[in-house]
Amino acid sequence: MYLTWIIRRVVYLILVLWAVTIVVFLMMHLAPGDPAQAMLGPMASGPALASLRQELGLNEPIYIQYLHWLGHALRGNLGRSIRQQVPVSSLIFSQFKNTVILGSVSFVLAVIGGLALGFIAALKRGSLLDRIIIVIASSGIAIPSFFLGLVLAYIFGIKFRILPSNGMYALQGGGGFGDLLKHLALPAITLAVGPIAVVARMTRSSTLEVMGQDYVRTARAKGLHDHTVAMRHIFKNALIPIIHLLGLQAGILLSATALVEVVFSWPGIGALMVNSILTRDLPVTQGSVLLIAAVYAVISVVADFAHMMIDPRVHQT
Amino acid sequence: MTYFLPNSLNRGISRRQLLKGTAAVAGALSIPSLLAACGGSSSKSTTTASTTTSQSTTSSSSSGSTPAASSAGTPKKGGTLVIGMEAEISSFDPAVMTGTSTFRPVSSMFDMLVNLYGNSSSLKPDIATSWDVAPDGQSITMKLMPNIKFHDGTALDADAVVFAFERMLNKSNPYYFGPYAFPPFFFPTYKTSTATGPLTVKFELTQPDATFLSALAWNTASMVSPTAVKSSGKDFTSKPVGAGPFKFDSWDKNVKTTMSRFDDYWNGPPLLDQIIWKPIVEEAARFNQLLSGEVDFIVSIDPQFVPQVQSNPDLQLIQGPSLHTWWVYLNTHETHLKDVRVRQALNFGVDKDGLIKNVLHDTAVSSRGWCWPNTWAYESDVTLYPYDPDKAKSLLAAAGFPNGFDLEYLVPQSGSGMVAPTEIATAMQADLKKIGVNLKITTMEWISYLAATANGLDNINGKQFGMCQESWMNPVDDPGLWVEFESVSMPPGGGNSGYYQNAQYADLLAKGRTTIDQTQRATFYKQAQKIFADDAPWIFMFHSNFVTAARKNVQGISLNPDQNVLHLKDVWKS
Repeated sequence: MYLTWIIRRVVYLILVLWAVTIVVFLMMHLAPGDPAQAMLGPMASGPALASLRQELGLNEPIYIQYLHWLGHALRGNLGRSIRQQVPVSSLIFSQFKNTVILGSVSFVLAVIGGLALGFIAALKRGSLLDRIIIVIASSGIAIPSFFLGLVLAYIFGIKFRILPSNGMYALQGGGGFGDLLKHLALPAITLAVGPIAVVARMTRSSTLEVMGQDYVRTARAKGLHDHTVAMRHIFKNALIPIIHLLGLQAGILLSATALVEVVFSWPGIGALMVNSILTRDLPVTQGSVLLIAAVYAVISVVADFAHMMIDPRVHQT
Repeated sequence: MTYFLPNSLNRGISRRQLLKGTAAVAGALSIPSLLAACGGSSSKSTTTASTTTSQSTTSSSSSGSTPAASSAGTPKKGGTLVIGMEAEISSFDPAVMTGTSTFRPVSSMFDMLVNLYGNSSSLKPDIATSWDVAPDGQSITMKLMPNIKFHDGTALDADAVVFAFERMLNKSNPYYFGPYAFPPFFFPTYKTSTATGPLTVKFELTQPDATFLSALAWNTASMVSPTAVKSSGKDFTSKPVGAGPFKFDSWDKNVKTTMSRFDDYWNGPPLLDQIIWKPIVEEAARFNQLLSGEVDFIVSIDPQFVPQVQSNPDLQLIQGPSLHTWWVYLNTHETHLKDVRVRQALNFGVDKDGLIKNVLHDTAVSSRGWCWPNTWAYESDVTLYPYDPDKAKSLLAAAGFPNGFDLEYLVPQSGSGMVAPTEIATAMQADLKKIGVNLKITTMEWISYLAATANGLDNINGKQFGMCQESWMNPVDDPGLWVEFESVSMPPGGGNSGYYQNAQYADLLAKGRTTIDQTQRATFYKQAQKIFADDAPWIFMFHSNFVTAARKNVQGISLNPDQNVLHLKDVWKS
């Protein structure tokens, strides 16, 4: 039964990715300017532009260009960057690794921070602590990550010089795990603030809902210790809707890395994608969007699956 | 991004507009505290790279200039210089690379046949010791310096020079891995090259072209090791081997590029052990890292940070004149702008000196046309347009527009060579409002902007625009490399976005390009400049300096007017 479910989802996933490649291709062609123009810049004289377009194959009809790309992609060849002439696969995988490092640390922060804050706020409902947490959570959702990033970079990186505000390792003598952690601190926190807020609010309301359930009252009536009730009965049940939310947040986090990576010069795939769009480097855009979309889709399948395993009430539809 | 770099793209993201705003925020945050920290600006730290020359007068901006930074102490060997650059290097292969942000770092690894040195804007021998241009202008014979080695130990001789050109420009060469963007643009008249001796190369051209020699100073004409190209193939782009003062070590994409000293450099080994180039796209972040000492030197600095550099005792501003021109096209098809009096009025109506002082913080000099002051082709005796709103108003009235009019103005958000485009546009808007001309500004992302203006101003998404901005960086003081493209060739395909037309002017420029004798060429270009100033098809704006900032302990930086090249051989850290 699980098997059919998984097969079906995988087929959907492939269809979605295929659609993504078509959309990216079309959008890049609809955007004004093309790679030839981007490469020549102000020097895009008629003859130079015409011959470069010809050589890059930009004069072919769009569907031919697309099929050409797709044919290679299906054989595992994502092409070469138009601008840098290096294989796209080498570019995107090395950058993606860095995004995964940043993204997963932020995700762990978001899970731990969000669950803890939300759970505490719910248990202390109505108290000052609860209100403080709500205010923090609301602002966390409201503050754009690039702005928060610049402010944190200024305060900790420039003003007090406690933490590096740029890059992944120190340029000289860096490279160790400790060095990586130091460089991770600011971008990871910046990236985690939004999801922490969302998870905290969701946890709080879900916990409050569970606290009002009959079985909690029964547990209390049995004379169980507060701590036992909280952990065994409340927390576990409150977690169910949050699992699904975490899956969503993981996807959102992946897309939010683009801005944070730019602000902190983090050499990740988001920054690579943004830059490739600006230079109309289609193979790189196509490759990086495809990879990000694939990961997003896989995460959501996994989240659905986890949800289904944890909560038997969810039907395998 | 980024000069020809769309990068700006290279210097540029929707991120661009977004970050522009955030950069301003960060800037605002840091200014008060910095001023407080420095307690006044008794120590002005401006240094001019210029030591000698013909061009130093153009650098009116170098207030309180002291001699070059190198004067302090005895040069010391060793050390690592960390340089913050405005965009990631796009490629290390001279045939592939595009854009100033790539040319600059890569110039340390490759030598060229000719180059610019010191403050001069004329060609100097580099690998080539001398050259002869045939009387018919269709061939050039160059003599090379003997005993020059590439980083891999192979010889840089006539065969290597021929190889470098053939593999870029001859599509049937087995080592042509194109398409390449810049080679055919810079060397449109290249026919073939042959080694006529072990150290003699003969270039043959398809037609007389005085600019071929000048074009050899573009970094595209860098000398590459044939052995390395043959063994690496397309991957030469990430395993470059040249003959410059520094050799390639490693490229950690979007993180850093490391180069180390080449001890067998023909002109003596450099002082530094190592150079690390770090791409920091965001302006405020780049400047912040110079402040915190994470980088020693930044080669592109937003004018808004100039006062902070000048008032900070740990930093030095190093700038010098450069072969850059920044202008505004006027659409000569537009109802009002058809009239030369209106175009002249707009020239009188913009306070260029005020703008240079307030927006650009004296990092530029005002221009009288396209030609750079104090160069061989420059004509100083042209019609001038000092700021004179009254004269502007009377010219408008004479043209039949006493109450002014509205004008559409297309502006890029950022872009290679486009210094402070939106800030300048707003300053112009305020100036021209005073003479009754209301500018309606539309901004566009850089590549979209290039695509739009390449088709001319008459129909951009269904709308006719009256003005747009453009800039150009040249490697040497030869207007023949670009002026026809920007002021004669009609769009689409040509850069003359405002459709300026004057047969006599066009004829003079064509003669300037095909005549070989420089004195004669100068006469043609000078006449052309007079006509151009009278016709006022552009608003003549400014020539930007090559502006850099460094930590105080960085010594020996010498900028030359070609912003595509950085000579770092004699740089050291105290």
